[in-house]
Amino acid sequence: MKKSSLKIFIVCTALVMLGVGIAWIAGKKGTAGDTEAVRTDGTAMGTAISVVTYGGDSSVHDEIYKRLDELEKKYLSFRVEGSAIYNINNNYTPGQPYELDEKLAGYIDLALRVGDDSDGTFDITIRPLADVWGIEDGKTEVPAETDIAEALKNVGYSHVSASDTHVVIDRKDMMLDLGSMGKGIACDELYDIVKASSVTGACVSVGGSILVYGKKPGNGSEDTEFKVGIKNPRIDDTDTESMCGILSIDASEKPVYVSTSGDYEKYFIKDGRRYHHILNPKTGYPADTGIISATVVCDSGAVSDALSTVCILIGRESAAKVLEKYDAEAVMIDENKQVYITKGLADRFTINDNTYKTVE
Amino acid sequence: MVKKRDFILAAVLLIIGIIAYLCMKLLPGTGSEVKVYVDGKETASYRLETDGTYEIKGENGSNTLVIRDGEAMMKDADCPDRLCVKQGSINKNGESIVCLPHKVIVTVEGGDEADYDIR
Repeated sequence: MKKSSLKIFIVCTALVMLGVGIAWIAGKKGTAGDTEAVRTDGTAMGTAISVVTYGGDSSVHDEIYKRLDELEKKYLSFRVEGSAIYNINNNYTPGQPYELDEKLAGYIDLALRVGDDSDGTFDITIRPLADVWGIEDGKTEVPAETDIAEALKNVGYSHVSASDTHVVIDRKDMMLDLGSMGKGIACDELYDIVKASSVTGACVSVGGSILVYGKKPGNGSEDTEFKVGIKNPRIDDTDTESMCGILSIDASEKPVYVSTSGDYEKYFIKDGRRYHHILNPKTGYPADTGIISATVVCDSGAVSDALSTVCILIGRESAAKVLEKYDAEAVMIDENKQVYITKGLADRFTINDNTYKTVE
Repeated sequence: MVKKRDFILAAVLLIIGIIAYLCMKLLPGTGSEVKVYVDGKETASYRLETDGTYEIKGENGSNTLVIRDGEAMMKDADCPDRLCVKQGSINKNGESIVCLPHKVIVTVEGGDEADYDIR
């Protein structure tokens, strides 16, 4: 009697498990393989990194993190001893050409041009002013006028010029800092790695800059576009939507770069006023154009990163001309939660948080 | 007699199996986990469905993770920028909260897909 009951128990259990197993495999089949996203989150270059890939070999994730470390340590960081930027800052002789690799010279040249196009507000020599404010390091005090004035003496990109292989800084005590376009540069550099890999679609987010590559495999749908979440610049409490809107990006023909800058990540509030980290070298104070978040979309990571900062610095109307010049599109949000979208993105942006309203 | 009891047992087992499977199938929101990584290593994992307050020991400081009503958020942190606290709450597969100074990453794994691929 006990034996037969045990038998039935075993048979039944086996049957149930078999049923569940078959159903599970059947359910899995549709999403397995190339349509399944491989996602990693991590940190590099002092910022948050997310990598999402479809298809191909996911070892590209490791390569990406490795390359980001290398970019920071060998090229971009003004803090890391031995990086190309560190070496220029610490070894240059005023007025003498300083040799550096072509790529970096190109990025510096681009930064100087964006400076000219932004009425001198985008400035890669701003570091002394940024240090006085110390917002990135958690300082929450408005510096004394005299300290700001003192810092501004060593700020001014007009003292810097770049050729294909050299950079010249014509006065002493200056410092180059590519922070305002470094994450975009990283995205440009990562494109080579992603392109050389076997993945069919990818998104890489380096802080505020994102590389969108290839196609997102649709589960039967035609939609191969990637959805980029635009962070809500005003998260007041935990009930606030973390994304204020979603941008749909078609990277099936060529890579697309999306960079966002805003006044909502590095800032402090003093006497009811918000002091954020995007500083205007003309005033010595944080930009005050009413734009609190700007997302720029174009075919260069470095340009998208730089121009997103420019939008905050010079405001919507002036920025429109610069965007046009660089063939870039943008979503700008002002302090009244009004959302301005350039023509090329008009049907690609969806509001996620209804307290924001699109204008025009 | 014996056979009848065996049948009942078999039927009960089958029904349990089917119900268990249907639960797994019909409730896609369940099974989400909140994973905590410190410097790239997983240090803790909690169920998104279970409310709780947890202290995360990161590098150079700690963060307070709160899971409530199926959402995870950083309630507090002793880092200077407190960016993690400003990131709001997460509840969809792949969403994450990052605390750079403490090298802490909190992610949701499993459950409903977020309506964006990257941010």
